[in-house]
Amino acid sequence: MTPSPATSSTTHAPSRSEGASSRPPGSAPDGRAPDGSASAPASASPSADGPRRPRRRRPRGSGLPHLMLVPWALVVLVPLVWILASSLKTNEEIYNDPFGLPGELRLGVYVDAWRQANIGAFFTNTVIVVSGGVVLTMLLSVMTAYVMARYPFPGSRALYWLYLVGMTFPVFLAIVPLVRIVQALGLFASNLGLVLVYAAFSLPFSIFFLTGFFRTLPKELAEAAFLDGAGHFGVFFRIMLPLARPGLISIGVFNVLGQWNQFLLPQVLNPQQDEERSNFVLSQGLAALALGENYETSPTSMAQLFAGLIISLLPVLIVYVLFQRQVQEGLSAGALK
Amino acid sequence: MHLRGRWWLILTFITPGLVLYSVFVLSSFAQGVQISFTNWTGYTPTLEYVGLDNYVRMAKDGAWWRAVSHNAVLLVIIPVVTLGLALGLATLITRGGSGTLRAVRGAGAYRVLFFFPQVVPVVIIGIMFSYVYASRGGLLDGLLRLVGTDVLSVVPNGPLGNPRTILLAIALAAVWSSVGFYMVLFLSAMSGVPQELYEAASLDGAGRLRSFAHVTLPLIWSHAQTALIYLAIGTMDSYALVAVMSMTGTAADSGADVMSTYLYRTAFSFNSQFGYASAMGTVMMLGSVALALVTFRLTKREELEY
Repeated sequence: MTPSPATSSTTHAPSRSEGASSRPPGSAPDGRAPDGSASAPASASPSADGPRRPRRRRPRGSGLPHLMLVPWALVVLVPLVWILASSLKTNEEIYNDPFGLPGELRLGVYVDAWRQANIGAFFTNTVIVVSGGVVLTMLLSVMTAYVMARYPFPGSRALYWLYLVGMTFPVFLAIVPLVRIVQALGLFASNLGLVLVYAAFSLPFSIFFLTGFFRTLPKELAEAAFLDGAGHFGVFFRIMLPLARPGLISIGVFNVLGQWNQFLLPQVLNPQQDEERSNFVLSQGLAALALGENYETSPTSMAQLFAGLIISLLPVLIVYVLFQRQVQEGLSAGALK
Repeated sequence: MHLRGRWWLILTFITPGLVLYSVFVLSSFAQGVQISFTNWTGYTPTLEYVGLDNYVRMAKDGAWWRAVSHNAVLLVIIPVVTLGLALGLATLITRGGSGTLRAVRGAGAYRVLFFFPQVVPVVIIGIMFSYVYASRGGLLDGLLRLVGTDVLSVVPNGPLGNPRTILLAIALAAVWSSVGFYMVLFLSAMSGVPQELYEAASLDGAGRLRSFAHVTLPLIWSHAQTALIYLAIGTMDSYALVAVMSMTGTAADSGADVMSTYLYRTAFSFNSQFGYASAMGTVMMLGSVALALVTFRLTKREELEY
């Protein structure tokens, strides 16, 4: 699943048919790296290299790129590692020695962050809202997408345009009326309100992605089932849904990451309700902590904030590691919508 | 096939989604446009129409135009730096291996690492970079001191506390987060370039730079265009990063306003001027639609055959 150099040692030579080259990026069926991750030094690529040349050229040929790739790797890694290290340090240590190691291993900071800084509540809220939001998004989008892909009816076209609007218009146009609508429904500053709004705004892209996916599935199986007397619902649940699993996983991962990332919608629809901000989701809570940092008195207040960053990054990291391929697929499809 | 069952499935499957979507998304957009013609502040149950007043006011509002100009600055810096870096890294990875034709050693690992910032929540990126740029105990300042300079001291209050530097500082954080993503897009595009072309170029004596300029670049140009448009849309819509990074800065709070943050403050801080904020939203919507139309034209254009 993860294109580690070991598993994806595709050689460079294989099929480069016209079909492959005209395919839009990100939709390669195996989703595998175009780089081929070909670390395999002895891959029998019939390249311009003669049998003798690699030996002589390797030192120059393979060292130079790393000289430029490693610096960017550091640019990506260093801030993250620095935040991790600083999450164990006191404010004093951070100010006076930004690169020193923490004086002692203060794992208690994470407990403080979870309890005192209330990261625990933010985390729980986020988990609830994102799970609800993603499940609802998946449910509604898979049903709509199935109809759009397989049941052309008078009005399909209109449906397509309606959902296209949601993908094109900026959410900023919607936020003012949204407050009014959500208030009128009695869902203001509630988890349920966020679930419904997240799902509603996630629908268009999910529907288009899954519609495309359903179109790629073979029609024969469904037709055979119809001949065997299966009903429309039976075909959907017993045949099409299981076939759609890979697409569902991709779009599910995409939505988990996207909804975990939400900031503007909760900021507008879920304002602070009490002293401890116990209704906040992580993005709001962290932003509020960062803003309050200037007035904080606890000697590990910065560390608590950093611990909060690490805590909220952890689920994202896990999803990323587990679903490496789907993440890159889903996101690039998002860009090429 | 049984027609009744067919319609039953269509209706039960599209209705729930359509109801949710209409209530929260479609009606919000429609009301947004409607409210833009009123002076509504949220305190009255009815809307009082004021014609185009909000739009006239916007045309004369210096703060709005400054926000627009900030978007424009970001629109130049972010795509140029991001796409430049992404293209460079993608080329190094696909063709940096021994000989001139192979992927570099460890390509998979680079790809996984470089893409990661794209999935880091934007608020986390914003807070993290606020501390990277901090003038006291910040990562950047510390690194520069390690090298023996304190160039950063010419920027009072640090890069985020200074109106002259804050936009650049924010733009670089945005670049950090999206380079890997566009690199992966370019990697996909480059995998579609037939290897034979490189072999031919190499036989003709072309080195890496020349084959990049004459083979890779022309063949992935359409992808670069698409990437540029998506970056442009993303930059127009940037909100969280600017909101978070300008909030912790000391002096530059409104010095970094972009359209979206100015809209947010107009609606939710400055006496809830909902009508005026909605007019800004409508203008932003028109901009997005224009960009989408351009995109549509460009991507529908015939692909280069090879």
